[in-house]
Amino acid sequence: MSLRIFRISNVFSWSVAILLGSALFWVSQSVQRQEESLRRLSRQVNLELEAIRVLEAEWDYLNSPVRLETLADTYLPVENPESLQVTEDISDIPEAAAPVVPSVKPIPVSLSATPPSDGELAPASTPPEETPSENVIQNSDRQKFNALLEGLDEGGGF
Amino acid sequence: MKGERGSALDQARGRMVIVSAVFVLAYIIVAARVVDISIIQGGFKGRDVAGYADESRDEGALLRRADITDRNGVLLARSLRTASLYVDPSMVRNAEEVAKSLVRLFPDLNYGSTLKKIQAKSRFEWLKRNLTPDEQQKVLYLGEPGLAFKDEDRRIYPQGGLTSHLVGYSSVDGNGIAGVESSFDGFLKGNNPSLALTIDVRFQHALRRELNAAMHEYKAKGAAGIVMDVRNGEILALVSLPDFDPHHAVDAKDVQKFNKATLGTYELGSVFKVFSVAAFIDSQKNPLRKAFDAREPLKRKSARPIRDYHAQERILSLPEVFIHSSNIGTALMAETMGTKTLQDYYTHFGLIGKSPLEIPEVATSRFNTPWHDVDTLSASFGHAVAVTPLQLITGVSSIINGGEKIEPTLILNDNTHQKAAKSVSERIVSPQTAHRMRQLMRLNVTDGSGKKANVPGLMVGGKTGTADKPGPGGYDHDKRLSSFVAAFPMDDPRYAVFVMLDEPTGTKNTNNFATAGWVAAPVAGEVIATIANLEGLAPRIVGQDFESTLRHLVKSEEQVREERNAQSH
Repeated sequence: MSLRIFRISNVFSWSVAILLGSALFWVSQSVQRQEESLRRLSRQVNLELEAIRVLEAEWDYLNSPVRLETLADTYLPVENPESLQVTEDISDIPEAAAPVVPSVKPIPVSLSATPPSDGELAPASTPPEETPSENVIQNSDRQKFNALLEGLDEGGGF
Repeated sequence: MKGERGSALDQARGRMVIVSAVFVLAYIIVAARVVDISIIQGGFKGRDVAGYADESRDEGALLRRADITDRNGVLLARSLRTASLYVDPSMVRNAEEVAKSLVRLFPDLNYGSTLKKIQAKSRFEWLKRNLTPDEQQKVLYLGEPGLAFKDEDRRIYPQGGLTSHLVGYSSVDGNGIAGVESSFDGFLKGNNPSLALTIDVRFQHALRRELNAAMHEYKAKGAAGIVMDVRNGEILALVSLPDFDPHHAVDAKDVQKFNKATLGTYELGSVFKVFSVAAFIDSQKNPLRKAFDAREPLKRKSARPIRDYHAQERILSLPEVFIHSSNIGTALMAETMGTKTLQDYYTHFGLIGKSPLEIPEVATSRFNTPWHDVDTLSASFGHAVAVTPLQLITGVSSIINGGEKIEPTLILNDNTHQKAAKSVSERIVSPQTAHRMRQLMRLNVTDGSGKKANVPGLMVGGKTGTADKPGPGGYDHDKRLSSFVAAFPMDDPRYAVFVMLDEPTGTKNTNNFATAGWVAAPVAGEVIATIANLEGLAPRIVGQDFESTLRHLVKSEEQVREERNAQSH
């Protein structure tokens, strides 16, 4: 009868109980560990949040208009625009005199096909062709400039 | 034998059943309790249970006062956690030594009173509030067990004195004392994220800078100014000088703490003619055809004769009365309208009573009581009636925005529930009157006393006001209030600007004049130019059409001279 205690079902129950017990213990221990780390993390988060609050206040302190204006007066070579210098549409500003050298990139085709008429390579900042004729220089609008480019192509001797 | 064995077995089984039943019961109880805690209670106060880890943060948030920001979210006030030093006297062994080292660390502490606190019979005495982290480290370095720290919130105002009269300040214990800090004390303590004001710190700075410069240049006692959005009454900037640093509000003098723009009531003089002329145009038929005899000072019984400062000594048209700021002309208008009509208009313009602004420092306007008919005449050009600058600019804004009454507000919409029904839709003058007033104010800047406020391309309009301050036994001709109320762009006004200088004195640059056209109008012009820059307002050249319909009613100096010559011949 005393051997009954070692019956398979009992052994099974005991081992299940021990297993569950240790699992429970393990779970509770790891929960405590996690809680501890969570607490530590949230304490850290709070410290960070507090630091961010301080930094935000400092940011707005350093960016106060009084200070910025003093700094701008000291270090920037610009001043406030006059009321008439402001415009809402950039195209209202008249174009400056047309540049002697068209600021559009050179056309590689003409360069490779025929060398410039004077036989020298132009500096990198200037187009490869000879300076365009005067009447073209005075026109600053895009259409005229495109016409110029086409004319140059033809002159290139395709 | 078998029966005995059987009964023993039964007995054992019975015991087993009982034991199992006890265990089963115990487990059921445990299970029920688990369900109760995790599901039933957890379901109802889920946030509390989940929040146990953020305990400290929740605690802090509950105690923390909310931020105050400007309309763009720039911080105007914020509470930051700092350590405050206290002493538990029962833990201190050598009081003299501790007091000495503390005084060495903090020179502002007094040795005697510090020692007294350290030797006190209590277990808690504040020594110094709100230490910097550096100071805290130094105290910790003393290694004295009786010294300890308590976290406290300290109110920081990153903009310093810039918004001192609006934001106000709070006590070291976190109670609002003045300004929004006081009027929204409950809201700020109520665990709300932040309170946004209608102020724009950039506008505020521009206004304060210009007023400060003018105050020093003209050696004025003080200055005040307001910038308002005429469409909804939002206050974009409000300055009263001298002001104070809210971190040291306790040390500030009364004159610094006094908010001239909302708590000061002044007889503002000719700027009031905006109201009288608007009332006249609105109440009369064909007001522009009326003429006003300003050849002689106006004499009415029981009063001193009414004179013009810039006396034209001729018959004036309505636009001329406005741009030459004729007291006689406006007094005649007031007489035509009668006391009742004028008072009604003043009431509609919000000049009687108190402006509904969200800070406690707001004054009620003052009138002569009892009101005699002669007071009606004085009131028409801004005497015998004292209003706050806030009331003035609100009234002017209400007229020129098209005639819809607005109320001043400091709190940006939709961030508190207290501000649901702020927009009042009440017509106070007709759109036609509003248009005429815009033209008149514009005309005053192009052709009249407000020329120095003009900013090319921005269509500035305005009205000057130079008032002698009341002194003992009448008005003191040497003490003046010079003010200017402006708005722009006049064909579709958005901003109203009011500036006032208290007792300015003229300089060489102003030919020793301290009148509004010389000292106040340029300030308004500078403020307007800066605002236009900040907002990127493009200049508009509307041509001369806007005010030209009135210009033919104004005689040029040459015309006047020719007429005089013709009369004398």
